[in-house]
Amino acid sequence: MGNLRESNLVYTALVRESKHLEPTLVLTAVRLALLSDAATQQFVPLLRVLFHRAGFDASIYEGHFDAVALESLNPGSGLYSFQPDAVAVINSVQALRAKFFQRAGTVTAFVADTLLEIVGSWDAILARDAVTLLQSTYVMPYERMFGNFDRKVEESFSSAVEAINTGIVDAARVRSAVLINDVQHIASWVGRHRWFDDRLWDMAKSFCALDHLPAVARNIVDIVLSARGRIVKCVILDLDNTLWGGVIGDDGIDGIVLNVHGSGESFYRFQCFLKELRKRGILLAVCSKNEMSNALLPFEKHPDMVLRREDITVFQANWDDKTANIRVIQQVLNIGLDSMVFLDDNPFERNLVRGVLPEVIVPELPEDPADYVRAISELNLFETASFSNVDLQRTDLYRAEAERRAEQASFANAGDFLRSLKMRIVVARFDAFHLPRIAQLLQRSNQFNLTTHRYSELECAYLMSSSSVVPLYVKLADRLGDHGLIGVVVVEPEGETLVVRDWLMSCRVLARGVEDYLMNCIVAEASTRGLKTVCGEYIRTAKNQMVKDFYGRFGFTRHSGDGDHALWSLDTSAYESRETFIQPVTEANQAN
Amino acid sequence: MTAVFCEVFDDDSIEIYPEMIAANVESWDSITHINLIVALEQEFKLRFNTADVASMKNVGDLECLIRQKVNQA
Repeated sequence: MGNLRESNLVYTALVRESKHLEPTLVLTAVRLALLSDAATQQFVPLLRVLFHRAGFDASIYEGHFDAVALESLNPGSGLYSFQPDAVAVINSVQALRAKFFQRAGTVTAFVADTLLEIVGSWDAILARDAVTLLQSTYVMPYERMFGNFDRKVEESFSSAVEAINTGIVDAARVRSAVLINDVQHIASWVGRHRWFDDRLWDMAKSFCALDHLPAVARNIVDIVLSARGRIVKCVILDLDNTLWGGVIGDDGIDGIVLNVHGSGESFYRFQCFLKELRKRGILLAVCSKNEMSNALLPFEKHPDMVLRREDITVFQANWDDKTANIRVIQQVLNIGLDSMVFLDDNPFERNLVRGVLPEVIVPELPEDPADYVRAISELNLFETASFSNVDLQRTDLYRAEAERRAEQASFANAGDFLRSLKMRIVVARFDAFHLPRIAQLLQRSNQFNLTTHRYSELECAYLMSSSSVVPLYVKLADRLGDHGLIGVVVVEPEGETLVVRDWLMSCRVLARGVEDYLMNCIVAEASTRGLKTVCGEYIRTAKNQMVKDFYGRFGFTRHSGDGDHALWSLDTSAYESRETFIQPVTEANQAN
Repeated sequence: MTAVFCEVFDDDSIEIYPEMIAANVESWDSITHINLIVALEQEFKLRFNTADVASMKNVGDLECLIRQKVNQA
């Protein structure tokens, strides 16, 4: 992801680069289908390069020109035989314009028919394949037959386009598999004056001026990657000259530059932006070369500070190397380095972090703090494919975790501590209410994840209604707070064996006996069904080394496979139930 | 102009001549044609009309047109 952000996005350079992509071993495959009423050929080299830079090897299917409905409605179409992971529908306002001016009925009917066709295509695709679907918004047209009055006339072309965009967004809100590829946002950022090149549309049905095609391609890559779990979870912040102007240790609380209006407004605006990120579930951490007491001072005493101490999940202020502090933050939060963004005004620190921790995303910050928010916004760092209430509570969850760690130190042994937590667990079959969070956990869990199958919400719904599979979610609460939905276990009986298809857990809850509790459940389930064996699988990824020998710890024998992909099995009669300090409860009782 | 051709067709050995047409270069399709037109526009800081592009028959015509537009500027 880091490379993608800093790369140049020049059309000709990207096209050239696409012809010389280095084959490497570590690339993950992604299958993307493009359906459009504009030319898709120009997108292909750009997408391949941008995916490649992010570590993905993209196979791209181009649907027939202007045949979105045909491809999606015909079960024998090339789209379906391609078996995509993601489908990007790219609609051009140029094609819409031609249809608009040929309409036979009313504008209201035109809008309704257009939406019916778009949403009908989605539903046809989603009914057949569990894919991520990216739908573009229409770029607003430039012609205004009524001048400024256009806005007041429902029948104007611009009003029609706006109504269609609103309809697209409304329909996508109730379909979690449909993500918005907001091309209108990109075009308005560039400016429509420069966006459109009608000559190129006439000659080759080019979607827009070639200069801006890479931005559309990058948007598609960003969305596909976020749907596959590549998301930013934490922003690590420098303090002096990043969150406020000046140096707190030298200038003191009255000397630093930070105000609601005036010279310090740029820092105030930046902090407001960060606070909104925190509210939507992005964790904030501080990494500053400072005395701790000085670093905390503005958070506690400065009247114009927007961020307060409780907004910062991990606060590292000392004179150590920043990369060492970032490692500490990473360990406390237990998230991947590639899900962290490091923001620092000092180019030396940025380069140091880039050199030592290349996975961390380190954007260039502009010299003028007035441009911080704008520069970071332009990078589109905070793409996500879902949003739920859990995101809102995340900061609280991590803070409660810090409290637990502090308490743990005061107990004589781990058992006493675990008992004192009064943990309550729910293990229940997938249900519609929990599907969004289940799908999110499947997308995001990397470390404690034995097979890393990234089921989408739709695939989870299939599992939910399956009669053979037993798909379970796990929720945990304790005296200090509610962890929410923290695990997924999918098992399936197969002959004499109970096969564990998936087992993943949030790393926040490790080492409390949850895995012991669940293994007890799984073996008990096998015994109840009269099955003699439990079988488990481990598929290695770049991040799940932690559970490499997970089954071995429970007395399973590895009977085939190597370090990358191993099968383990356990004779249920030989299993000794593990002691845990966790009380099973039902969904209704957990809250108490 | 040769440099632009080399860049667009990703082939440093390309030599252009007045009678050259799209059929003479393997990768010269409608999309690379657009890429070529836009690359020439950027290189020579000019703008082709749709009619200009439609009326060009070969590289000689293209060169002629570029000269004309550069001299006008």
